[in-house]
Amino acid sequence: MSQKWRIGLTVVMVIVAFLAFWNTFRLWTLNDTDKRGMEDREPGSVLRLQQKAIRLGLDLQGGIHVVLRVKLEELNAAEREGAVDRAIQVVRNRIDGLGVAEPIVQKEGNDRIIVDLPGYTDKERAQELIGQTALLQFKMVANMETANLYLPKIDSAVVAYRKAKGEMPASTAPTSSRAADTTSKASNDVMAELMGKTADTSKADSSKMFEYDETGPSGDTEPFSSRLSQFLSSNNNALFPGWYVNKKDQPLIDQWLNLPQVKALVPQDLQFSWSTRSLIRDGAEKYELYLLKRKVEFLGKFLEGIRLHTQGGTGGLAVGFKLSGEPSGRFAQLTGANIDKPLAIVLDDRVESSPIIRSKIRGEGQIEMGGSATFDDARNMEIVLKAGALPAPVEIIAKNVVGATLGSDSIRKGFYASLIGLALVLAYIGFYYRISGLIADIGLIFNLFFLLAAMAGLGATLTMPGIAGIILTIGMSVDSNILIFERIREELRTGKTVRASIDAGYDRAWQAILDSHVTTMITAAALFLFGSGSIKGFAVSLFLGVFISLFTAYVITKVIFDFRKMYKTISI
Amino acid sequence: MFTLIGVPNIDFIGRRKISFAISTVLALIGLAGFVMILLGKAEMGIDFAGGIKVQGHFERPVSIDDVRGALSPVFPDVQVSEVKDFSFPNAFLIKTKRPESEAEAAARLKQFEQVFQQQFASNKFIEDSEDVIGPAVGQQLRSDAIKAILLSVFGIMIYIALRFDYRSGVAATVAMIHDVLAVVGIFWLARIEFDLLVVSALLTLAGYSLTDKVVVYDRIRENLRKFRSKSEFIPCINRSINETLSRTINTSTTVLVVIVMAFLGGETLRNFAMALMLGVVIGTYSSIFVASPIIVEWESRSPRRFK
Repeated sequence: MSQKWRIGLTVVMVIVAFLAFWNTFRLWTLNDTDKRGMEDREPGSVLRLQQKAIRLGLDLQGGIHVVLRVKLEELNAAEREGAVDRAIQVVRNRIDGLGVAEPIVQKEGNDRIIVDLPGYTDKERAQELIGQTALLQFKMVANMETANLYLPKIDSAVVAYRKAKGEMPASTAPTSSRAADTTSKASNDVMAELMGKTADTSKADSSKMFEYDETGPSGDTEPFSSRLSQFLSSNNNALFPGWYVNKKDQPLIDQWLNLPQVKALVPQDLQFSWSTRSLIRDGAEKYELYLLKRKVEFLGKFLEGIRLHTQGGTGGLAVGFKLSGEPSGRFAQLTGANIDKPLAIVLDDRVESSPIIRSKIRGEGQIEMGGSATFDDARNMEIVLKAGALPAPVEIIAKNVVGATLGSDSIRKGFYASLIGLALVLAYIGFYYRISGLIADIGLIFNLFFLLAAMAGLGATLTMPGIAGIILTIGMSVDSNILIFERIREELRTGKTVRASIDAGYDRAWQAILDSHVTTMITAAALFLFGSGSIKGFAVSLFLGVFISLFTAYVITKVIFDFRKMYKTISI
Repeated sequence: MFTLIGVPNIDFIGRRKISFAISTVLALIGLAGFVMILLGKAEMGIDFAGGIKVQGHFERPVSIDDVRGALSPVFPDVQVSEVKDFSFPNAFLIKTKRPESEAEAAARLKQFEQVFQQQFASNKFIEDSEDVIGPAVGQQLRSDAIKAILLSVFGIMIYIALRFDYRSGVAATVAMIHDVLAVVGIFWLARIEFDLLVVSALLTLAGYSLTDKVVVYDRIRENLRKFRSKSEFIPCINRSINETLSRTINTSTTVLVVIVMAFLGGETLRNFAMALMLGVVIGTYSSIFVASPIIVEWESRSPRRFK
């Protein structure tokens, strides 16, 4: 590698590192007041910044780690099939509403589920949420007339609230107009009796879209309803209170809905509910918000024989189900009385879907997925229905709760430990090797910076052992410099010129540098593959740190030494 | 040029009888500790043994004996230690190990909370962290640790085999195992717990120790090219150790400095830092006094280079 290449690569690395580290730098330099200010101006903004910065492990920011076991032995062979996937789906649904920045829910082994909730420390609530068995309910969506009654009231309450808080609404008013949503209907699911009915899900209706979407001053007077865009309608063009909400507005709307003065406005028998997942509409990520009747019309546990299939006529996807006995009669009554109305399928208080009832469903029915539904959407619907029908009982077999105080205490200790360690090493090397030492010090700081940037860029998680890994890396990268320096010194002692000594010293030390780095990387890789949680953090920072140290030794250190060859003397 | 050590001329090889004796003792203790771990008789952390670990603080001062006194009738094996450098005063770390079942692990936590509520009714205990590990998870973590150890040892061996000749590869590995065993032995004697972090430290140490030896071997190989006769073999090895001494000590010092800093990281990192620190000290010793003498012994018993 030529000198030019090395310099070019160094410059590129520095720029990339700056970009990768920028968000982390911003987050780390914010104090609590700044964060509150940001959150007031734009709810959810701190959370979004956190997602772009270096993640902190549970041990550093506090949080909850739970290992669940699905009690397969309590299920029969048919129920066992996919039980873990269903349980995962249920857990995902539930923690989605907690506002955790980077929740992790993953399958481990045959029957285990790992749940990580960084930053969330309400252990009672978490345990309740995670350890419970799924509850799938069917509820009716309220009437549009009812919704129209309450929306203006909520608007005024929100206006009053914002005035009281002294917010300048004009500056945060929502955005440009959203075009009438013509495509939305196509995806509306339809619930129909299996036999003999054909479903035409593509029959979209866009003629009478209810437009709350006004620009300009209406954002001030209707802060709430101007952020909603109505989409839910039945085949006979009746509108229902289902709205799209831009993902960035979602935390704000949710905050308003949870204000006591707003809650007081909504009657007891109604409830606002969010959709489980966001979806892409008109090029933006949106959540759905529904106004539901609170009454539970039907329970998911009565569903049987849930099966994903393609429809004969249209080739569209549908999830079929069966009903028997007394519940079958009740479901027939419910659907018969509500034809052409949406029925909300609610899993743990989140709306999964709101298919329109096509006909009276007696023994056998199906939910037709809309035209834009993918196989995954349909499969998800199947899992959701099964989760409600065949709940998978779980038990907590390990958990780790770290309080926020302990976390911040660890960060503080880790930070000072690294800082003092770094300072001592810098001082020692600077003193021992003089100018060369100072150059090595600069390289060391670059190393540290690259390491943090790499962790931010790769979305790695920093844990307490990870900090130890960083500290260890400082030691290892110093070793590269010591090896080179000692070698150059030896060469100088034999009477060689500076140029020859640097060449010989660098070349001969290189093999040993490579050896020490490779063996450490092997260990780190093994720990990464088999380590869990905080150990993984150690492995990640050690591996990245050593890798980067190798890079700086090969590229940056070499550039500097090549440069120094031009001088007759060397301070080492 | 500032030097602390320079290039001395110490006869390290001549002192190999003493160092071999010391090292044999260290390795034997380590071997005993290792066997005890396998038999499950050594002190294991809760991540391997299963159990609960709670850290928390009382609102008002409580003596450690009172805490122990309240808990030991319910949990005979309870370990209580004071946490000194935490944000809150009166902080304690409480552990009990080896639950019979997952349900028992969870039940212990509840039981423990009840005991504190009754015994310290007017002085609230606020939990700052809790860690509950059932026996099945402990088992899983144990087998994961074993896999990690096997994989990294295997990986390093392959690297060494590719990089070095047979003899120095074997000698470096023997010296590395000696270093790891010595730390295991000292931990076992001092009744320090083995947990996941300690295992990670031992593995990291293995890598560090190996390369420390490799640097010396590299030099030996280089110097041997210049020496041709058998009588020069031992002086050549001695000279190689002396030449690399400055680097060995300097690197170890800096690594040691940063590891000592890890002690400031609090309870979590204490045993981890301890393992690494001991390892670096022992590794440095064996790089100088053990690794190269092994080569000398081997050569004198079955000459290969100088027949």
